[in-house]
Amino acid sequence: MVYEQIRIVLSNDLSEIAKLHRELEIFGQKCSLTPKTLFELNLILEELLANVVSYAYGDNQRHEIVVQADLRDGELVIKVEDDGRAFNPLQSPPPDLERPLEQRKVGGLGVHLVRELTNSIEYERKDGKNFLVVRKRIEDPR
Amino acid sequence: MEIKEETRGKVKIVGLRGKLDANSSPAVEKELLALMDRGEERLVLDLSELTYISSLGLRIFISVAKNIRKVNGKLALAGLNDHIYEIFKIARFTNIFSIFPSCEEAVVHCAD
Repeated sequence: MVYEQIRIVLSNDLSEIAKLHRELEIFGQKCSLTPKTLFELNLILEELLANVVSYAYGDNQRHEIVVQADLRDGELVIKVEDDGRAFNPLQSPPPDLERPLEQRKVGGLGVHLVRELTNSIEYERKDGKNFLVVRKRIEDPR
Repeated sequence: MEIKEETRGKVKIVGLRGKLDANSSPAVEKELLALMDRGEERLVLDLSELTYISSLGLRIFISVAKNIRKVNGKLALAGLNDHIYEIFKIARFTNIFSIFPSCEEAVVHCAD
């Protein structure tokens, strides 16, 4: 069984996204991910992390966000754990993408992209933490 | 992220090179809005060297397009790679933006 895993601990600051991209680059090479899959993995995790950093915390304290990606038998399992306020992205309403430019909102696209680029999303609130598990089937050789 | 500017007649070409992510997007948006404040109304965004985009990058295009629309200007995007074009499709940006394979075609569109 081919099995690769990466675990990254980030703090609640958008500048941490640079670190996330760097670590995922190394993970992508180790797993021989195609450029398309690596692009999408970066995007999925950036969207999830940006949501947590932007909306989960009302204080000015440092918090740890734990990101994990596992590749096993052609499936990427992506986990994000944070101790912010309860937020279930599955409950956010889908953006209306058929509106003309004047009525398009600038935000709301992140969760939509994650939904479209993955096969399943599970959310759980436990012990004061948010646990998000996102699964993505990949066509890569491994 | 590098931003290159070039003027061709009435059209301003802005080339974005690198990653348009949560870190780089605020500075790029500021730069593009500053260009419009200086009276640039015909804008081609050359994305041929853009390697990555996230939703925070996508929202810049909405913001720029709305500003251009207000002054009856013209906006075109050019040179998107396959991965970025796919994200544009998922966000239905392909319905609201004029997108061209090459910068030259985008300039012709904006110069009209």
